Amino acid sequence: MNLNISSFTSDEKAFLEPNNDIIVTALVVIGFVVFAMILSKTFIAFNDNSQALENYEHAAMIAKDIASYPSLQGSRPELISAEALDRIASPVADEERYLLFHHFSANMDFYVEAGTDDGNYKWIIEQGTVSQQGRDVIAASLPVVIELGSNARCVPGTITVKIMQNKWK
Amino acid sequence: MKKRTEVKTTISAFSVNTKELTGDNSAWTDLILSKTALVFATVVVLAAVYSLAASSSDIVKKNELEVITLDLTSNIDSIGSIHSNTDKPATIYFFDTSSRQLIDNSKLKISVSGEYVSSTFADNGRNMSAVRTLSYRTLPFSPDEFRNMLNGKFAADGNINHPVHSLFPYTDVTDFLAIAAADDLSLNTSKGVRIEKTSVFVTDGNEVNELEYILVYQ
Repeated sequence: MNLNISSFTSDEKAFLEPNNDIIVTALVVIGFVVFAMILSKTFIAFNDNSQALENYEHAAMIAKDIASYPSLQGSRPELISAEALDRIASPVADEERYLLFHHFSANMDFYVEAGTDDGNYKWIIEQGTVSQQGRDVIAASLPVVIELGSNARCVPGTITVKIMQNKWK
Repeated sequence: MKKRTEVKTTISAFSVNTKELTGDNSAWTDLILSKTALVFATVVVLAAVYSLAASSSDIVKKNELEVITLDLTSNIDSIGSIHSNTDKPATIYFFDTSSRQLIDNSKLKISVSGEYVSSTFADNGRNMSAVRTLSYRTLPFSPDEFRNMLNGKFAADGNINHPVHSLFPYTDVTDFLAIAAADDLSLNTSKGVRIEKTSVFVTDGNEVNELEYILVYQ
């Protein structure tokens, strides 16, 4: 072993020395490239997540707004009347539906689904036909209590808002 | 070793003191070449690190601009989402300058229109911008301007006592207001922005309906 080391240290041909720098430089460059890649990947992931969160919060705000819309309220403000949902989802209630959708911006394309959790009742409130073809759908659901009929039977349900957005190209 | 001999031969062709060079076995030419390469590589890596740091400051500025735009947009939207039968919700929004690190108020331009809030920041000749769409129908007018506009066009200011005469789906009123709201209103960032909900009452002769709008003005 001692013999080997001494033959290595006493080697004056400088065979390895100049190449050391190249190896070290290559390592530094590779390290930097990997660092930059990780950094940009993290940033892209953060950007995507924050955009998704922003979109979700947007949809959740609209769902909350619709859940507290005065025309849909039941006998108490925290209840949603099934009768009102029947009325507003029916094809003849054009004007009432128009007023519900009108206070939202004209460039928002969305529809509302309401239903009881047991799956017995489901309502879809939409204005015109909303095209989903090749578009991103952002949805947010809100738990609500739906008042069925006049005997004040209340069942748990959800209100879901689905916003259609054109995809980024 | 062959390479080294070639280098030595080339140098000896141009140099007067060829013996000194060819007789030198300490490999200094290799050393100088590799050190020069190392200096170049270091310069390149440092330049890359510097440009990364510069671009990260751009990202921070862009993020701040997005936050400023989003904050105003969400304040406008939150007024739109309040349903109150008694009072119309209203607030005064002030731009938060204390939490900003890189964005200077004097170089910041914020405007609002019926469709979106947009911010532009002029940074050394380059413009950065952020845009957020509004969720509710918004008009960049003061209540007086708004009522005067309606009065001028429909001979009724749209109050509960003077509803505008219009038939469902009220396109004459909504289109008129949408076109009027298409122009941007530039906001002064050192002053408060007033945001309030208002209604235009429309009637077809039998019943009166309410169209809700948000007014943004200074």
